[in-house]
Amino acid sequence: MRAHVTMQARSGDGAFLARVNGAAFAGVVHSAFHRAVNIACLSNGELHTLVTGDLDDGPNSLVVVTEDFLAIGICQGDSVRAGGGSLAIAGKAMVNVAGAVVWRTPVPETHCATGLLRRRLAEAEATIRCNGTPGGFIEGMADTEVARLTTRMLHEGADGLALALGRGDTDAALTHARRLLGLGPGLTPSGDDFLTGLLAARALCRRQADLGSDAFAHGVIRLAKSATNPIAYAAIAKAARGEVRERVARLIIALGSTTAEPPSQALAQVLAIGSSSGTEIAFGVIRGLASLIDNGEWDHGHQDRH
Amino acid sequence: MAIKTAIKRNTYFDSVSLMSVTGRANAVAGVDQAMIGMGTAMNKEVLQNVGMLTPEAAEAQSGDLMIVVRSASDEIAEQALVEIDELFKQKGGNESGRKMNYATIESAVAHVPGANLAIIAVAGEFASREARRALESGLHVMMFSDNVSIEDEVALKTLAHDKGLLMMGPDCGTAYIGGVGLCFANAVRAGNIGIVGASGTGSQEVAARIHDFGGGITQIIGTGGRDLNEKVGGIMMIDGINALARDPATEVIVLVSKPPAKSVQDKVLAAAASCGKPVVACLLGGSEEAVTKAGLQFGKTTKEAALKAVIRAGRKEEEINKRALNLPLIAETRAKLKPEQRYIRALLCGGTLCEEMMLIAKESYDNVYSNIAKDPARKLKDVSTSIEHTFIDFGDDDFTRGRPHPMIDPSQRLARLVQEARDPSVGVIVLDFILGYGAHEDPAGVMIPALVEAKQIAATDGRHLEILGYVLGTDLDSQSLAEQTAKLSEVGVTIASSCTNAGLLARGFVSKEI
Amino acid sequence: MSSINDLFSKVSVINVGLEMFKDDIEKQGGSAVHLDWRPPAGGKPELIDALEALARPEIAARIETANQEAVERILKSQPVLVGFGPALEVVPGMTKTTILHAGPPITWERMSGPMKGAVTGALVFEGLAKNLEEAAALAASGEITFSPCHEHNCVGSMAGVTSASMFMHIVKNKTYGNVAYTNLSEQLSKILRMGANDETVIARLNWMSDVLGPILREAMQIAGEIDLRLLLSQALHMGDECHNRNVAGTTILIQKLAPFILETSFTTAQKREVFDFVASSDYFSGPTWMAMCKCALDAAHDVPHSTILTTMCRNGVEFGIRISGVPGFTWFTGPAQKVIGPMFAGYKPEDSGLDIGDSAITETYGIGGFAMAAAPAIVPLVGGTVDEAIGFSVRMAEITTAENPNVTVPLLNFKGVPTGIDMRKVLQTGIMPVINTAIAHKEAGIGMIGAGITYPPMEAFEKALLAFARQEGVAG
Repeated sequence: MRAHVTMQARSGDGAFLARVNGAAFAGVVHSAFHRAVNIACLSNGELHTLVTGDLDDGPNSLVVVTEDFLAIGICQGDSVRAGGGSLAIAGKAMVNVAGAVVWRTPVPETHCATGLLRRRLAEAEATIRCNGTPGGFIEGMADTEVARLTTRMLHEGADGLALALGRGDTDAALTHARRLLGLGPGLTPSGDDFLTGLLAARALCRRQADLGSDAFAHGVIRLAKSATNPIAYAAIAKAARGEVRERVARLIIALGSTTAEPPSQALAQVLAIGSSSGTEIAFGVIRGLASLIDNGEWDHGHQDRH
Repeated sequence: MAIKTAIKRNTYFDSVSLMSVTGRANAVAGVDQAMIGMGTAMNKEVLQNVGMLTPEAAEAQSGDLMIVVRSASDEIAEQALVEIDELFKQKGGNESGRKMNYATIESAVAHVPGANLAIIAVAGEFASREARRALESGLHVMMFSDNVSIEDEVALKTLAHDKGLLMMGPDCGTAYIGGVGLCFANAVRAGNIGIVGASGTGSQEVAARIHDFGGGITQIIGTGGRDLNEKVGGIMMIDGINALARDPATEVIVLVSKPPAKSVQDKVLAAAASCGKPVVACLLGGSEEAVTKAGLQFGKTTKEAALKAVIRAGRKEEEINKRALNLPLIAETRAKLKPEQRYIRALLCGGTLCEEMMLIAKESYDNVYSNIAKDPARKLKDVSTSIEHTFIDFGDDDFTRGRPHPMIDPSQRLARLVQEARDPSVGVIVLDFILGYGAHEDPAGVMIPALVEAKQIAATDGRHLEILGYVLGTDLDSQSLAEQTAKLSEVGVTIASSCTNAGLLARGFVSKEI
Repeated sequence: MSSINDLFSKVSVINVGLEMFKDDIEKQGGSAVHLDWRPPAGGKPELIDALEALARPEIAARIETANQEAVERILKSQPVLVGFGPALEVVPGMTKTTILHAGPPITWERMSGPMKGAVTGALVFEGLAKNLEEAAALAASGEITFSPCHEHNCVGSMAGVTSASMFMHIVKNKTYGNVAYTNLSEQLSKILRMGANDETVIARLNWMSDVLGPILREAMQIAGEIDLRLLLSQALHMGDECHNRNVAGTTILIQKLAPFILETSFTTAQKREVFDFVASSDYFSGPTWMAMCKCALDAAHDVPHSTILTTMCRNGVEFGIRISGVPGFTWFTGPAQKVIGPMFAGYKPEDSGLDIGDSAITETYGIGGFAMAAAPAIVPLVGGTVDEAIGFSVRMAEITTAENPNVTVPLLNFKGVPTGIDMRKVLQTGIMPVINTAIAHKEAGIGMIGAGITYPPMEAFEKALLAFARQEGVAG
């Protein structure tokens, strides 16, 4: 059957593009939404994502010039095959990757002074509390016992985690992280979004950029596998390795490097993610950066990073 | 407190949908709280802490969606789960955005939430079956179809009555329900007067007059023309009166009908008298005595009924423009006609309009013929040839079998108009022009060439031919009442302001004494 | 149910008949849907009387109960593949000189071109004739027994021609114990079942009974059984409707069979031939699903008073149906219809043979055309849009009795496929079951030239209704 819709990938994660271009990639649609399709790769088990043209690049993602995946009829269980420059979803759609721009997570080239970072973080936190979407960390979406308790547990977990990271207590930090994983409403529970932001901020701004040295990040990946759903897990595992979607990376750079741009625009872009997901991620980014100040990593040695 | 759980295995909805469904789920009536979230260990702990962790929820995996509802009773919780599931279906949008065709009433009822009325306008031999299925599916019915047996009508109306549903029709052409005109209906002001009508154009006429007198309408319930027949016994008329009696917006009720069978009339008038609201009964040609004895107001004509209703509904009599009959016009017209031009020829679309004008003529003349006359001696043997005073209802079976209604297809009336114009014994030709939903988009316009031709034929013959037009409509109808009237005036048509006045004018034009 | 006062506050209309009434309601801002209404039973009085008679409460209640029973038997059936074997050994009533064919009974003289081509090819393959001319003479001689597949617990795709040496699927109903059979896919387009019969066709048939069949038989001896309903449900989730689109079903079926094929005693070269053969066409699993459906529907046949269809099939001349409540092999037939759809390059619509084959057993079960919403990729076959494909599935719900909870369609929010075609509903609504199918050339010897959709003739349903009403004692 040649019934499929042909679509063009505008840009994409370098590794994902390489898989489509070269060695055959096979998978099955894990979940499909109007603006995103998650594909479980049969060989390495990782989730790969197609997003519509109005969304941003991210790890294991392709940005595809189309408006609505569900309208094409893509659904859970569709088989996905790729190789030789295109990716086919069942008989329904063909994504052509020739000419797609290769994307990698942008990284901060410089580190701003601690004082400036503190001020930016305080301003950003005030903005989030004011403009963020209720659901998880911000109360008010539904006035129910469940919602109130969830918000309280999120704050307890986040506060405890920040303190533990600040004093470099990995065991305590993991205990708190465990209580955040899978907690809260939404497809990606609030606690997971928060951890995604926190891990990405730490991974992108730490002195030792490699994961090997971060026992905490390792630990969260290990815990997350069984504590939450595959979509949330994929984001956490990538963030822990310093790979995070474009908008979040831009926010981390705007907050943490010596750029003259005020971080407000980058923050607004993050707050627009999902329903309350952007809000939780932004909180995570702030707490992640703050934890680097608290444990003394921010002041030392960032000049020898590059 | 009752707690109910639904688990959607391996089901992923985007966060925006989940949040929106959560918000709306907590607003479902009777729900104390609803939790919608992924089945992760931490979310289960939250449920545990608030005492909502059911065994089913405890089993959920992190890729499953949990829906847990707490409410006062099991029934409410179950109902809430059903409603939440509906919210997901709407969110899923798989069917909602697509335009689906349904082939059966049952299927449409299953897919269209809130559907409450079926309009049945199919060939008569199939109509009863569809109406029965609609009633059995819990729908009220408006049956436009005719040619339905009286046995079927009784069975359907009995079924509807037992179920507390309205069975309007068969042969019900007009209704106005919940602010929406159905089939043939005029756009009227909302108000406090409800109508139950056994005749479609009669209801339209009364409603249009009420509108013109400054009143307004709540509902028009049609019963179909045979409801007051002995066999049917006025089931729908009585149910309609009772429905309006219970309708808080309705303060005055108007009944419109031809005179019922005696036994039925007693029942209907008794029901009207005990309904607790003022009732004006317009039983065309019926007994004033019976109506007033029952304690109701009598409307001798449609115009009188409308006027009485508007006054009972609270409008001051002195503020109403009653559209009094133009007596000088009668004298003037009479002077133009030759002595041999003695007859009225009424070519009408509206059955009740024909009925009422004929009644008015019969008050003065005995030689009144019609295709709808009850008296066999006065019934036209050949509907294509007029005799003396002739009143033709083009909406009757004689003319509609296998053809569209004359309100939609004017061709038969056009031909007849020209034919009557050739007859030197004709003094006045009366035409009605019905506006509103379901009617022709330009009923006056399509008649203009024939009107001009008719006038010319008479002029060539050296006589004046009076053509009297009545436009049934309101200033809210989509076919502009003012434009339609102007078009007719331009070609020399005299315009009557109501059906009643049209009848009186026509009678006057050919009368030999005042 | 809506109270009268609810009606007075907001009217929401279902409009039957004149469409302008709906338009006027919408103009006023009211809500209305227009029904796609047709006169019941095409407006024929005799049939309407029969429908009305069957609608009498006591009769209707009896039918409803029977239909619930029949549908439950379809839904509860769990057909499993248990083996393969030559028709002569496994099929009841099979003899060396018997030829089974698709559709309702038919004589040699009346057979269509493709079926004659298949019959003569099969006679040559069986060694009963030296060549096609001799085979035609033999077929006409009266020495060959022709019998419908359906009357031997079998189904046959397209011409359905099945002879003694052909290897059959053996599918057992774990719930009810009955067994169904069908022969193996020949793959490709120039094949016996489409009426082709040259040496290449015969050579392939020989290889199938010498190598393919025995390998599959041995593989299943090792495997034991394979749950076909489970595989079918997976295939639907993977975009097959399992009549015209079988790419997913074939993949998962061979995935199940492969380890056992490897374990058989045949040579690597022969196993390789089998895999190459399976890979040569997506259709490999097509017959498997047919046997699965047949197995479930046979279990639902012969439920007294039931109006559920248990068979739809075509022999290229006539379309035949069977009704559960009319026992045994009572066929109601009407003329086979044209199949409308795109043709292979070089062929024109006038080259098409009429609708043929037992494969409409899939629609009778609730897949194929009924599950079009599961397979938006076959939309070009229908010549329409995805919405229309979905529309087919939604529409079929109007003439069926239940949804199959075990076989679901993701695009319809995992609604079950429409199951249990009710003859009464077909006649009441005028909605005909939609069938996805292949097009064979009208002449013998050419084969498949396209694919498309078709419908049964109303006549078959009309005859069935009248006979059923007579049987139920409610009509003359």
